[in-house]
Amino acid sequence: MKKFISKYVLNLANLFFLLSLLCFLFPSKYASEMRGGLKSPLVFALVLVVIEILFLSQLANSKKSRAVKDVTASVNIFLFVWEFIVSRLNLLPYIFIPAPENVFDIFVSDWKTILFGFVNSMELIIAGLFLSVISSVILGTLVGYNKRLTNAVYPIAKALSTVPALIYTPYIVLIMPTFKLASLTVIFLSIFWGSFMGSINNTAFVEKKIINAAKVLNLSTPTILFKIIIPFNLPRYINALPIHLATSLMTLTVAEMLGADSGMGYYVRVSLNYANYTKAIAGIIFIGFVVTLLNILIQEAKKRLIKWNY
Amino acid sequence: MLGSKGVRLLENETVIEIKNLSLSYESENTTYEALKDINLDIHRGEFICIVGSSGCGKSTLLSVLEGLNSATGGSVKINGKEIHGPGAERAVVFQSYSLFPWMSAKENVAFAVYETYKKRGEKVSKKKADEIALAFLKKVELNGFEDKLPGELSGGMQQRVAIARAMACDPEILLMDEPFGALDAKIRENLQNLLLKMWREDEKKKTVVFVTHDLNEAELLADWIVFMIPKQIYAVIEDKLPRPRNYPYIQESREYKELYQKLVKYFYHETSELIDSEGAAL
Repeated sequence: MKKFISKYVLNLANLFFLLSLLCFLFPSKYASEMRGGLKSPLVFALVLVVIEILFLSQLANSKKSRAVKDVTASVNIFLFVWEFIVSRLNLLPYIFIPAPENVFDIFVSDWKTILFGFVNSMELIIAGLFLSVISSVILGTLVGYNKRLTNAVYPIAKALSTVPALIYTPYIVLIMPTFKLASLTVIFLSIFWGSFMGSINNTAFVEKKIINAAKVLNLSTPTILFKIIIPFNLPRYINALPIHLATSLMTLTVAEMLGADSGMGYYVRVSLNYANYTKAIAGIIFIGFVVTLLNILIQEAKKRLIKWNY
Repeated sequence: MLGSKGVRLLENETVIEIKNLSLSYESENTTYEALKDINLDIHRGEFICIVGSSGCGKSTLLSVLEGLNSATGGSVKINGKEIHGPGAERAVVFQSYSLFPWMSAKENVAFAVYETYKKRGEKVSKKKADEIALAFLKKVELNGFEDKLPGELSGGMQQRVAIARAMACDPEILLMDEPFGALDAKIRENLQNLLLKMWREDEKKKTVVFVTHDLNEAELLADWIVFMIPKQIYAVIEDKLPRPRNYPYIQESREYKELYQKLVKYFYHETSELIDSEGAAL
C-alpha cells in the first residue's frame, strides 16, 4: 500500500494536476475583465485528465518512471502557471496571451478547419518524406558502393546540402504550377541531400565483415545492395526519420505561409494575420502534438521492425 | 627447408593449385609485400591447416583463395581454372561476426543455400532451402535455436551457425579463417570435434583449408600442416595421426606428442633463423 502511494500518488505531477483543477473553484479575473470572456473550462479540464490518465498508465508499465514523472511534472507546472496567472489573476496582457480554457476550446469549436488542415499537411509531408527518403537511400547506396562514384558525387552533394531549402522555397512556390507540387518539391529537396549523403556514408563504411560474408556467398551486386547493405543500414535510416520529419514540417510550414489555402502552418499564419492569438496558439500546440505523435509511431514501428542492434 | 611439393603420397587429383603466388599492397609511396612465391598443391578431400605467427600472411593467403583479394603475381587454379573472385564451389567460415544480424539462424543458412544453388544453376525452392537449413542446424546441434537472431546467440553458437551455413551450401572446398580463434577453450574443443565429425561423415569429402595459429588445433585437424613464416611457406608437414581423432584423448598418444615437439621446433627454429638473418626479434 505504502509502495503504491509513493509510486502513483506522491509526486509533483499529481500535485500540480490537483492545483490546476482547484483553480476552477476560484473566481476568474480574466472572465470579469475581458469582454470576450472565458470559455467553458471543460475542454481544458479534459486535457488535464487525459494527461493524468496517460501519466498513470505510463507509470504502470514503464521502467523509466522518473523521466515520466519529470516530464509530466514540467507539463503540469506549465499548465498550472498559465491557468493561475492568466485565467485566474489576469496579470498578463490578455490580447496576446489568451487563457488556456479559450485555447483548448478552439480544438472543439474549430475542429473541422483544424482536421482539414491536418489532412492536407499530412498528405504532403508523408508523400514528400517517403519519396525523398526512399530515393535518397537507393541512390546513396548505389553511389556509396562504388568508390569512384562516391568520390565524384559526394563533394557535390555536400555543397548542395548546405543550401537550406527554406532559402529557395519562395522561388519553387513561384515556379511550380500548383501549390501541392511546390510543397512536395520543397519537402523532397529539404530532406534529400542530407539523407543522400548519409546513405552514401552508411554504404561506404558498412561493416567490412558483412560485405565479405556477402561476397563469398557469390551474391550479385544488386542482391548485395538491396538484401544486405540496405537491411543492414535500415535501423540508421529509421533513426534519422524523426529529424527528417521535423525538417519537412518546418519547410512545409514555411511553404504554407507563402501560398496555401489550407494546412497546419496555414492555420497558424492566418490566425496571426487576423491577430487571433488564441487560434494561433492552439495551432502551434496542435503541430507539436502531431509531431510528438508521429515520433512515437516511428519508435513503435522501429521496435516492431528491427529486433537487432549493431 | 622442406619442399612444398613432391612429398605427397596421396594419389588424389589436385583441386587447388597455387603457383608462384605473390601479393603486395600498394600505398601512396610504399609497396608492402604480403606474400612471395607461394607454391602449394592441395588434393581433393584433404584437410590442410595453415599455421604461423600473426602477420605472416596466412590469412592473406586464404583471402586469395576466398576470392576477396587478388594476387599481384602468379596464379591460383581451382579444378584447373584460374579464379577471379569468389566462387560457388567454395564456402567460407570467418572468425566472427559474419552472420547477417537481421536474419534468424535459419534464415541465414537458408539464404546462403538459396543463393549458392542459384549461382550454380541448380536452383532450389525457398521451401527446400529452409529444409536444408533446418537439417544442418540440427547437425550442429542447434535445434531449438533456429529462429533466434545472431545477437541472441553466444559466440560459439554463432560459429555453429556459420559452419552450418558453409556446410549446407555443399561446397567442394571449405575455407576457414581462424573460425574458433575467438572462443574459449572448452567450446573450441567441442566445435573442433563437431567439425571433424561433420567432415568425416560427409559422403563427398570436402577439401578444407583451415587457418589457425594454434598448433594443437592444427595437429588435431590436419592431414597436412603448412607452416608459414612471413610472406612464404616454410614447410609442409604430414600429420599421420590415426583418424578418427578426438580431443582431448588424442593428446595422450605418443605420436601426438612427437608431432607437437616437431611443430614447436619449427616454430622456434623459424624464430631464431629470423633473428639470425634480420637481426630483429619477433
